[in-house]
Amino acid sequence: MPKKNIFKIADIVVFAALIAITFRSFSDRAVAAKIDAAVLPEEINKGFYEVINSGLEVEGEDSNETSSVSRYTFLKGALDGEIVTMDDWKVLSNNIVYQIQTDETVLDFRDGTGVVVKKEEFPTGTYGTLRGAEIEGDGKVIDVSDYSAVMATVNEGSYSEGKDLKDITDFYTYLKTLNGTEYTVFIAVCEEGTSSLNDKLVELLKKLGVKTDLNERAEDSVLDRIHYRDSYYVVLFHGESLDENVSHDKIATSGNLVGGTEYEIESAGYDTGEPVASIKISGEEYAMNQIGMNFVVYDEKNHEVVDRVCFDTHEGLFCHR
Amino acid sequence: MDYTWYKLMLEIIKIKINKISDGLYYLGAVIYFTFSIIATSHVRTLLGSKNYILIMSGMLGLLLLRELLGFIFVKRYGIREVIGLLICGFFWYIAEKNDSSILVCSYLLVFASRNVDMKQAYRIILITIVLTCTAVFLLAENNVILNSIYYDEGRYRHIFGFHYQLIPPCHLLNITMIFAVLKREKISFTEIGILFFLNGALYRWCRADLSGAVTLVVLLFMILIKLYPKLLTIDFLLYNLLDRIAVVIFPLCMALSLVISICYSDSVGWMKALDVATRGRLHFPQQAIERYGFSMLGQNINFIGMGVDGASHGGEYDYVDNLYISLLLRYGVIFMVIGILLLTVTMYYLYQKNMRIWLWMLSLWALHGLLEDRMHMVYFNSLLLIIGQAVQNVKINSIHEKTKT
Repeated sequence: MPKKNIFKIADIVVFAALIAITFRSFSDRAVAAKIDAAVLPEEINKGFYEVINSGLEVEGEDSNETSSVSRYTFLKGALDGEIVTMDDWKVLSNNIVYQIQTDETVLDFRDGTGVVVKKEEFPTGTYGTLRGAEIEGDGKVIDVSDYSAVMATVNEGSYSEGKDLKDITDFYTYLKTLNGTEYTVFIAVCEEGTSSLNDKLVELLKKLGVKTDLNERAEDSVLDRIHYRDSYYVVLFHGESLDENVSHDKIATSGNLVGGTEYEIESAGYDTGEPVASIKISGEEYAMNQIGMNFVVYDEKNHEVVDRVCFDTHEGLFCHR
Repeated sequence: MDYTWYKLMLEIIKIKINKISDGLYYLGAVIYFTFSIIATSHVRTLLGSKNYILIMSGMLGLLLLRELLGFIFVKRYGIREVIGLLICGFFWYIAEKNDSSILVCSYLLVFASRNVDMKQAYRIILITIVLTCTAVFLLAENNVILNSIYYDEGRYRHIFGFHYQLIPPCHLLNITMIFAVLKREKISFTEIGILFFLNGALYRWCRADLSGAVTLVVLLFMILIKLYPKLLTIDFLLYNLLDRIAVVIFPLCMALSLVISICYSDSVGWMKALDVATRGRLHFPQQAIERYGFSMLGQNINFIGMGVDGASHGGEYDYVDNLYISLLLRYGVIFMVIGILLLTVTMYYLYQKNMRIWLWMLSLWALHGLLEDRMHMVYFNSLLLIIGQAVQNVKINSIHEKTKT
């Protein structure tokens, strides 16, 4: 075969291969991920914004007489270098300087504290008790672009190890603290418990023993969660799931723990028409029965309920006790 | 006395001067494109504004030296050169008054391109653009310059070291257009495939809907030309009609922009729907016209938003993305009239020369300008360099007379 024809055939083959890879990268996430990994050496955490906004949109610009403000809301427990990484913080810092078209940015940690950053003073911000978009009193001046300094400042004395479960209001910290304990954890969803979940929270739940990926998206639309408004319960012990179920319908189960303690769990999502979360231990109701994930933590050694709490994993990750 | 040797020497000197002046042009073009693209990226921060201005002034000096050499040793200026210089001067005055005096580099480069080998020039320019964009990308990926991902309306968009997410796809569109006019039917399928892959990848990473779509149209057109090369020369009624429409496409787009901007009304269903679909690109020009009005010599307006140049300002978003209205308001009526005239003359020249691919590529730019305001920048739209050649060489004949090629 003449060389010219060989080159022509090779030309068409390479063309067809490139077209096929391009189309596949749109329809097949695995192919897209391989291309991204090959070309983009530093993979920014794609779950970053879900963590930072905790399921809420940036609250937008609140205009007062003199300036406009953008507000990010997230939990301090996410500022550990693993959930929100250094690269994620770089993106946030860039946003404050280049993307946001407001004079001020507020980082609201939803525990009454926050950081206020004036665009013209970046990277200097002030951390302290948050009142609206202002810091009460003098506050503490921090370099917002230095993530290590931010972590050290906001987590100072807040979430040290050995903290009592009852005192924890941060969902990330709660899950991290539960991990490795010898408690039995009962979780039941009431009404809706997935909208505020992100991949990082699902990872923490998996470390506790949860098998279901409650953040799983539909194949044809990444915005649709498969388990949105579903009923869900799980019984966890030592990193293992003893009993777990998810369904569109109302679900219930009962059983005995190792020590013989009886339990009953019920979960009903929004679509059942009668949303409920019930966790009974030895016939006594302990679940908060509020929207989101209802936790009951039981100590089998001492035969007592250690904590009962609900985290609003539908919206905002608020803590209800 | 025999002056033959003297005339021969003069001819040799002229040839050498021509080569030197071509070299000066190519060097000026390389400097222009390299540093203009750098100015659209965060490498500019490393370079510093003073150094940037010095370098662009040096580039200007090179082009002026070229003109001087040409004037003294090669050919005296004719009426077209004089008009060209006067237009450059006027455009410089308007740009300095209302925008940035650095823009004179673009105008002089277009003027200087009137007597160079454009094929050779575009080869050099293409390599320059590709290498510069690659360098910016590598500097960003290695954290020498700022790099980040923005989250916007449920999607992630990379900047790859440039000021704004829309800039990399814009440069790719420019590269694709240059490929189209340079290689025509001789482009290989592999080259089309690589551009296709890059366009797909940039669309996933940067989400530039408009630039991505136009690049795709150009690529599909290139595939068509590869399969049917006669498309570029065939004397078919439909194509002749399209060619004639292409000649007047710039004035048509200008008129369309004005009509829509003036007549736009929220209460008309289809207008409102089109405005929402184009993210306000219908009502913002109208708002700007009401707010600023027209002026003969333009006015200094800072639209608020995120344009392709990455400028970000605080306040109510009112950015006019329509090239025609934006320039009309900012640079004035006289500038627009001259600009549209030059572009129409260029299209007429291309029509005369049967340069169909040029006609259609520039037509795409004309339509693109309805929704994007920076297409008059030569580093985003390098096909504008043909204006110099067109204005210099166009013959004012009947529109029916076309050069047989």
